[in-house]
This record gives sequence, structure tokens and C-alpha cells, in this order.
Amino acid sequence: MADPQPVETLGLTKVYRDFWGRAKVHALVGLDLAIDRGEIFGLLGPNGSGKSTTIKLLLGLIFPTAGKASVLGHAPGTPAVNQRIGYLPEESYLHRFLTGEETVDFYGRLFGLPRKERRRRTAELLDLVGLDRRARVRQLREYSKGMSRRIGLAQALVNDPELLLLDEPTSGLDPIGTREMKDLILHLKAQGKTILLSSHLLADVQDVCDRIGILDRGRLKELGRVRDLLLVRDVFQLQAAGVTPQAREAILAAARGAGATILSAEHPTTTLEELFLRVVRADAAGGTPHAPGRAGPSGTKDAPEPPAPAGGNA
Amino acid sequence: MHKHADNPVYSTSGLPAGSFLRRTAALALVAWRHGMRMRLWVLVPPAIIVLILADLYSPRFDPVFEGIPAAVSTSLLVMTILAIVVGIFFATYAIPAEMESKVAYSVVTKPVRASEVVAGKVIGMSLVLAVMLAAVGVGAYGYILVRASAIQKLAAERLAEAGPRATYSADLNALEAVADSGPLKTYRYYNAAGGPAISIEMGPEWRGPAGVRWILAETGMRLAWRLTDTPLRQWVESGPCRLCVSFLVSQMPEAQPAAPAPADAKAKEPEKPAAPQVLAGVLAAGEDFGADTASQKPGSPIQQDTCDIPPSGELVITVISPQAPPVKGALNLPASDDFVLKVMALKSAKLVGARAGSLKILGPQGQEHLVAALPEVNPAEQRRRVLLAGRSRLPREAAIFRFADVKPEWLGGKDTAFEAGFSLDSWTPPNIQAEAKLTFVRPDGREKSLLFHPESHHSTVLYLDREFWRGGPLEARLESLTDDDNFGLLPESVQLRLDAGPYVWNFAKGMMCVWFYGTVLAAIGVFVSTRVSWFVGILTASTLFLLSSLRPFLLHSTPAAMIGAYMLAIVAVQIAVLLFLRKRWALWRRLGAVAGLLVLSGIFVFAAMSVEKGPFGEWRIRPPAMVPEWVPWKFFVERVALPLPDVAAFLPSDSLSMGQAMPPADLGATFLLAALGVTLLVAAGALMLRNREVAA
Repeated sequence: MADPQPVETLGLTKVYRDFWGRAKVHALVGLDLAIDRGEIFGLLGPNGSGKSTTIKLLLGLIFPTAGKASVLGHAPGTPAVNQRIGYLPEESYLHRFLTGEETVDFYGRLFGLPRKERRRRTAELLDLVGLDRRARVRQLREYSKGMSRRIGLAQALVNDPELLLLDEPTSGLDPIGTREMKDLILHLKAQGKTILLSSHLLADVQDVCDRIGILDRGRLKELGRVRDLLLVRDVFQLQAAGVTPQAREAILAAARGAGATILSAEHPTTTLEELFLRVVRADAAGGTPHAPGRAGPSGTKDAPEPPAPAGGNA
Repeated sequence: MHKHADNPVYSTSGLPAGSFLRRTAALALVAWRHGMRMRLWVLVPPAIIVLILADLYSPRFDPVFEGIPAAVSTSLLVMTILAIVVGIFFATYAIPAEMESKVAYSVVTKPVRASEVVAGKVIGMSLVLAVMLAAVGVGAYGYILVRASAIQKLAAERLAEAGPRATYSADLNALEAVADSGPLKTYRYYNAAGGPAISIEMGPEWRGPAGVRWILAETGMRLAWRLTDTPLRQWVESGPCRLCVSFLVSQMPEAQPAAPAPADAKAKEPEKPAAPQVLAGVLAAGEDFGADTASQKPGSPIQQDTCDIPPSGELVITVISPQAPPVKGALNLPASDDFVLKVMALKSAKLVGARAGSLKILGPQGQEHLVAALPEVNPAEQRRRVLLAGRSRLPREAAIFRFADVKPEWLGGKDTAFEAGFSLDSWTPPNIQAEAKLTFVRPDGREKSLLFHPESHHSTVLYLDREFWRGGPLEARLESLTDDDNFGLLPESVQLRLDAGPYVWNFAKGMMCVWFYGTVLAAIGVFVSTRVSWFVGILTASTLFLLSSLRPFLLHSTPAAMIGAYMLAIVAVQIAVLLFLRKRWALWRRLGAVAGLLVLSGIFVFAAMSVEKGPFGEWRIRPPAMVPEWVPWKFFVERVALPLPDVAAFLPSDSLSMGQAMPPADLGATFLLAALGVTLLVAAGALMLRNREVAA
């Protein structure tokens, strides 16, 4: 029998009611969704579109009004499911009186990890999310928002989950943190994990997601592969290096000769994120921030090497 | 289909059972850290200061004997208040705080059960409370040690003023004990084996005949002959029988006619002594004399009658069958097969006695049967509670308490005196000062008597010099020396107070009871907060706590109508909860809830049956003391009909601060009761939490 899909919903609906039981908000209406194993799926939508409601329904934090959902082949929120998933809330809702180490250790205990395993896993995860030794023994109330996101991610990974539900994973992170988070997401995908993330930061979604769904006022408006959805089929773009002005003119003339309409012929620009990262990283390495010759989209969907520890900066 | 009848977050399936404790321990550890890092311990120093100030500025009648009990009492009170603060406020805050800060999102999306969350919170709160109570307890006990040292010095000074030891009164032995070994002593009670035996103290000058069992008039003493194995039952079917009793009647020593005064001897005739009178009855075994014969309904069988003993001492009682119409001057035999003849002397100044073979049964055809046995004095059914009549002159009644072998080490190490504790119910009129005598008798017959003034419904503590007795068997003979006074005595009315080990352990036991109490309050707080916000939770938990504390008052003084209204309100609340949950509960749960409501209604009807009309014509619930000794009924009235947790039951009794050691069994029972209460509250809280949308 084939493995069940990690996430599957059928006509999933959630209506929030007031004290008297009257319908107040239709947060989600008839969502049909299936996420494949090993893919990164992005839920997009404006505020109040139903992204967080979908994730809460998949976690069993709220109950559906109609329809059904299954996570890893089980009803959402059952311990059998919770044992195999990780959840990063949109803000790091953690005990603020615990230290970073105590936090990861506590969640490790809830998964029944033995003491040695917890100790090893805690050190590994805190390294992975880039919290240094001083930060680990400080209480979470003293953490910046970025540090809170990092420790939130560490607790979500403590059980080495098969499925990760990330609610606004880059919210509150600086560009370096955002980049590291995206790299980490891609790294996790390379390990075979399935990831469902919600965000309204379109560039982030575009950089990492294989497929996306766009929600608006509780309804699914668009669903498909990122490349397919963004592809402009009637426009052709050629990028090449080492093109002389003569060669450029020859190419343009050939295109016109073939009946094409030239829409633009210019040097591409890099992204602000790429520029920022180059400046900050070159400065950290003691070099000069100089643009490399090759420009283009910053993200790559090939699995990168795991991110190096970034220290305790936020 | 996705089932959301239960919150799947808390489903019990899919988790290894053995990890329940691990996860609960993890959640408890976090709750404990929360309490510690919220710096709840800052309450400890003010609590210690408050208890010291409260104790220092409280008036004391006698600092030597009241100082330590008051300090201990104040310490336990302050700890109790601390337990209430932590139990009601902090515990009620725990779950709502996680819900409102959304920390619960991170917790419940891990593989945990609702019961683990609730149990973890309660255990965590309990640990916080334990640490705080231990800190306050250490401070309080340090203060108690300082007080004890001062009290010991004060006792030594007073003793020095009292003079040489040979002149001590019995009470000064207690002062000496405090001066020698300090006031931090614990004691336990040691009861006499069996109930008090009643004897008659005749006095050395009275010489009566041997082999006679005596009863004293107007003391409630009874002579009894068992008639079950005699042919009386058989004979009486064919006609009236007669019971012939040969009594010995003796005037008491002081009632003997005095030497006639020479002047008035001719003027007045000597007063003829009144005929001795007895109340005689043929009664079923185990029964006692009933109401006055004159107040009996006409036509009902007569089973007791007042008779004058003729000068010969031969009293004849006519007995007829149970079915025969009542005849004046004859007694109907009771229907029971087991019956006795009982006689009680009525007129004062008379001793009435009988020997073995004093009773003869005469049948209707002239048959004779001699009852050879000695009559019994105060048959067994009277011994649980005996009435000791007071008399200033001999002869008078004495209640004898026999203590079996008392080991010398039970009396304590260095003390020069041991204590004999008394708990007496006396009906002494307020205008007279009752006097009593307690005589201790050693196995070799040597005696030592102590006179004292018992107070109504107060225990009296006497001290016996250890030079007189150092353990072994002991007999204590109690006499009331006040005319027209009575002591109601139980087997435990006269007890020995024996040494019960180090004081600190007793104090620690008291602290543990306060801890159990606080844990139960914390469980109530956590239970309430599983469904409501912190504010509503505090209001609800406080109300529950107040009602629980007022429970004895409610039980004893609230009219049934109010209790009924209260119970109906509970049922109404349950119905409202059911309606609220109607869409979330599976059919079998709804059926179970309906069954629960039916049971509650049944309990209500059951409780309503126990109402009675009060002295002012009002309807009220029968207080437990009035409920017959039928345990299930009492249980329902006390525990179920008024379903409030009796939280005060967990607190140590006042006697603990007086130094009475809490038996380990009592501590164990309190622990078990608390554990049961906490388990029930955790289970109920888990049920409530399971049906809650965490992110709603």
C-alpha cells in the first residue's frame, strides 16, 4: 500500500462563532489540498486569508466545522502524528522563564528522548540555529525576536520530524537570518522532509517552495508549481556573459529578423538581499564588497550545504 | 472521517503508557521553574516576620504553658494562608497564562495527554508550595526554639520561687518538667483496656456482708439476672408466674439514726424511714428501662414498674405472657427470647444488694426454679457510656480504668513526672464548683490520690510523680465528690498521656498536612482554570474555597430549602455545560452525562428525605449528629448531599499545636484522602481540557 500523503484536506471548513453560537467569521471554506512527500509547499495570502487557521486545523489546535483533514495518514493532532511533526508558530510561543537549553531539553522530554540523547540533540540544534553558549543560558525573556525565532525552530526540530509546519518562518528575522532560514529549509528538504509553510513574504516563498497555494478570504484561489505559475510563456529571456557590443547588436538584429519584438535588452540587476549579504559577509571576512560578475536570482532550489553557525547575533 | 468529538490533541491513543510519568514530570518541572522564577519565594521572609510579630503581640494567659502552642498555632496559620495564596491565585493562573500567551500551542502540539498537562501543573504547584512551606517552616521552627529556650528559663525561675520539691503540689510537677527538659514535648494518649468498671466505694468503716453485689440508689446502677435459659417463658404461657427476689437493704453510714438528742427526744417521734423503692423490669436483652410507666399508652404491655421493697426484703414480681392484657402490678414478658430482670434502686440513701441464689421463679402450678448465678452489676450494654453520680459522702460510685502494661520508655526519658490526661463530660451546674478525686493504684496496692476541679467539657490534665510509678500496670479510680453532679464517662475519658518522641517531627507532620491542603487547593485552582479565563477562574476557585470552608456551617445551620436550591443550581450548571458541549460530545458521553444528572437528582431526593422540622417550625436538613448511626446515610448527607470538598479536613487539628502527636496512620490517611481528591480533580480537569479548542 502506498504511503499516505503527508497532508490531505477535503472540504475543510472553519467558521468561528460568537458566544451565542452564531457564525461570526468564515475563516476557511472548503479547502481541498494534498501535499506530496518531500516537497515544500507554501501557503500564500494576505492577512486574514486563512493561512494560520489551516495550520491550526492541521495541528488539532482548533476543530473543523466541516470537512476532514489527515496528517501523515492520521487525524490531526493525535499523539501518533505529533510524535512525527514539528511546528514553528508565527511567533515563538515558548516559556519565557526558561533558558534556551532548558527549552529544547523540555521539549525533548515531551518526546521521551533519553537524557544523553537530549543533551546531544540540544547542543546540535542550538549550533544549527546559531545560538552561542552565552545565549543558551539566558532566559528567553531576554532574547531578541530573531533569537526567539531561532530557539522556536530548534524546539520544532527536536524530534527530527518528518513533516514541518512553519507559520511565517522568516517573520522577525534580519536578512542574514532570513537567508539562513531559507537555506535551512532547503537543507531539510534535501533530507527528505516535507514542509508546509505559510507566509505573506512572496520573495521568500518563491525562493524555497516547490508548490504554492494562494488563499484569499478563506478560499483557495490558485494552486500549482511555482515555476509553472510564474512562467511567462510568450516572452523569451537570454542571459549570457562576455557579450561584446557587436555581438549584442547581431543578436538583436537576428531576433528582429526572425519577427520577434524586443521588449528589453539591458544588464540585469541583482536583488537587494544579495547585495546586503555580500556587503555584510565581505565585511565580516575583512574583504571588499565587490559585486561578482554573475547576476541573477539569489536563491537556488538545489540543496545547499548546511548553514554554518552564525553566532548569537539577532 | 476526522473525529473532533474529542480534542485529538489530547487523545490517549498512540503513546507508550510508561512515558506518562516522564512527560508529567517534565511538565511539573516547568511549572516548578515558573513558580521559582516568578520569585514567589519573596513571600517567605514577610511570612516569617508576620508570624513572629503576630506571636509576640498576642496576649498570653500563661506564657509557660501557652507560649509554644500559640507559636506553633500561629506558624501553621501563616503557612495555611501561604498555601491558600499559592493554591488559589498561582495555580489558577497556570493554564490560562499559557493559553493567553499561546505557549500552549507549542506544548499541546507535542505528544502529551490532557491528564499529563493538568497533573504536571498540580504537581509543579505542589512542589513550589513544598519549597515555600519548608522555608517558612525552618524559620518558624527556629523562632519556636528561641521561644522554648526563654520559656524553659521562665519555668526554672518560677520553680525556684515555689520552694523545695517536697512541698510541690501536683500541678508544679508540670512546671518542673518544663524547667528540666523544655516545653517542646509531644504526647500521645494511652487508653484503658475496656470500658470503665463501676464499683462502690464504701469506706473503711463500713462492714457489709460478704458475697453480695450492691447497687447504690439514684446512681443509675443496675442489678440484672439473665432469664433466657429458665423455664419462665414456658410457664408463663399457662398462667401468671412470680419472680421472688431476696434483697439486702442497707442504710448508708451517714443515714444511720444518730444518737437521740436528750432535750427533744420526747417531744418528737422518731421519723420513720421511707420504704426502699426500686424500678424493676423484665426487658429484652440489650434494652434498658424506658420512659415513665405512667406515660405509657393505655393497653400497651407493661414491662417495668416501681415497687417498694418490704421490710423482709422479699420482693415478689408478677409476670404474665406478652399477649396478655396489661394488668396493674404485673409485668408482661417481652416477646424476645433473650430477656433479663433488671432492678434499679430509686430512693436515696439506700444500698440494695443481692447474693447468688437470691432469685426464685414460681410457676402457675407451683413449680419452682432457682436462679443460682450472682446478679450482674451494670450489664455489658451499659458500659460504653456510664453515668457516674456525684456524692460528697461515702458510699459513692467510682469508675475504674485499668491500664495494661505501660512500658517505662513510653513515659519519656528525663522527666520527673508523667501526665494523666482527662476528658470529662460533666453536667455541673454553673453555680457550683465540682470536685473530683482520681486515685492511682499500683499493682502492690499502694495508692495516691489527687483532688481536682473538673471543668465542664474541658479536659483536665493532672501530673503524677514518677517516683510513685515508673511503668507497668496501673489502675485509676475516678470519683465525683459533688452532690447532684454527674460525669458521663466513655472508655477513653481517662487516658494516660505518654511521651511521643521529638517535637520537630510533630511540627513537620503539621506542615505536611498544610502542604496536602495547599495541594488540594492547587488542584481545585488548576481544575477550574481548564475551562475559563484567569479572572473567572480566581472568582470560581475563591468561591469554591469559601463555600468549602463554610461547609460545616452550611451543613449544620442551613435550611434544607437553601441546600436544595444550591443543589439545583449545581444541576442547572451541569445542564448548561452539557448544552454548551452538545456538539462536541459523542453519544455515549451524552448518555453518561444524563445518567450522572439522574444520579445527582436522586441524591437530591435522597437528601430531601432527611429534612426535619426545626424547633422554630422551619424545615432544615437533619444535622449529622441527629442522623442515626447508619454509616451510608451519614456519608450521603455529609459528603454527597452537600458536594463540597471538605478542604479544612486536611489541616492539622488544634491538638497538634498543644503537643499531641499526630499518629502516622492519621498522616497517611490525610495523604491518601488528599491524593484521592487531587486524582479526581486532575481527571475532571483533563476531561474539561480535552474538549477545549486551544487556539479558539
